[in-house]
Amino acid sequence: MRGMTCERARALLPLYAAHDLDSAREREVAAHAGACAGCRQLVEEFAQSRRLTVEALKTPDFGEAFYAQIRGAVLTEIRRGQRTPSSPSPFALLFGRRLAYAATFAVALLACGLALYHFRRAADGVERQLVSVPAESRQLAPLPQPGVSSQQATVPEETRQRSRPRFARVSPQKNTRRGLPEAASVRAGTRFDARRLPELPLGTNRNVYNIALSSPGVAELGSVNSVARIEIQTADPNIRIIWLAPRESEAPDPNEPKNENGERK
Amino acid sequence: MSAEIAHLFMTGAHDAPRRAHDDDGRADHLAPLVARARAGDALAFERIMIATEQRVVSVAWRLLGNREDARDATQEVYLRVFKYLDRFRAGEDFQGWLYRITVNVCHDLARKRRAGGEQLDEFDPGHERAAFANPPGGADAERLTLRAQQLALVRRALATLPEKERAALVLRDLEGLSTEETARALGSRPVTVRSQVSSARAKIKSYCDRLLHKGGTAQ
Repeated sequence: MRGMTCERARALLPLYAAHDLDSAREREVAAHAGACAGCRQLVEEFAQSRRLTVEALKTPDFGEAFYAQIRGAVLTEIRRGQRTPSSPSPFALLFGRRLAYAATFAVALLACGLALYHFRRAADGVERQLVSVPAESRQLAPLPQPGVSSQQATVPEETRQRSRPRFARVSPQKNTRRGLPEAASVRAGTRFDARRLPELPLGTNRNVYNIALSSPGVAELGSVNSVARIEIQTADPNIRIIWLAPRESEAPDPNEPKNENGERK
Repeated sequence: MSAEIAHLFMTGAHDAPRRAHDDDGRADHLAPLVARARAGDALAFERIMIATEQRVVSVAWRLLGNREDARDATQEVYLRVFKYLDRFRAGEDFQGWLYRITVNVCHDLARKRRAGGEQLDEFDPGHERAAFANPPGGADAERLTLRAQQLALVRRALATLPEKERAALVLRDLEGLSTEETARALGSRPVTVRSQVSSARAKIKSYCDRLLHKGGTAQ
């Protein structure tokens, strides 16, 4: 047991002065107050303050007429409204407010469950739709032939129509937001590696291809002689996954023969 | 008084309940009256009012600070008691239930008054005026003046307390309920009531000390 300090004793004095402490604590405070003149003085002051409070708030005698007036008003009101004690329902008798609280909680829980169910269902739907992109739409659109200008490199209309799944499409388009190198290419069967993306100079407009993919992370591309822009449109129109593949010619072939100056032949 | 006697005679004085301030604080004798009032017996309800109205008015006056508000609150208390009498379960402490309704009604009324911009901070100075109707002269007058100042100070201090602390102090120190009874009436725990009462006592003392010392008057 810790020794009673003045600080602790003074925190307990308002209760001690009215005998509101348990007996053990009261003995401690009494022992301290017996030895500490300051705390003893405070005990006396609290006791006097309490006596003053009781005296100050002694209820005045309002007189019998005052009470009769109250009774008359109440009974008149009861008779006028023909109020009878309300008859609560059996549920209210059994549970009272608890029933209301429980019902509110159950409704809130149900709402949370429904929201979670719909959220999960929507997420599953997006995954299913992405996986079930038609095989034909996964095919690559015809690619521009070497030597054909980027402006001429267009995909035939029927191919474009065919290759438009609901959430992914294959179409050449100009990238006006970010310039791309002149002729990047991706080999067939090359795994896409975003780290291989070259630094792209701004302001260069190039033809890029949107390639529908069913599996994120790996892009198996056919023979492409330009930069491939791979876009996956998710169910959310605001979310589109975009991959950029490097051009083949920019990735130097280490086996390529070089002349004596180190230049490619 | 004669009106009360006449009333008791009319309603059957042989089983008339004693005034609440006369009884020992337990309201067991009210149980049969409560049962009859629940069955729709208006006379039984009136007798419940007679038995308990002084306590209700007293609490309302101490919480609200003036006679008119205390009267309005008491009327509302009994209307609520009548309305919800069926929710009162037999065997429960009727007095505690009544205190709880009283405190709630007073809090509602005080909030309504505050929302209407009315001031609730000053206590009815009724008894001070009565005490000084014929003031004695000399040293007695000075002593009485000092005492009246102290009492007024305590009332002002009580008016500055937060709602819950004030209710706890009124029920515990002025109505003489135990901490547990106060807790039941306020719908809180005894430890909370103890804390509220302790804080209220300390604040009242501190308020009075500060003003008395500022005014240069020793308590």
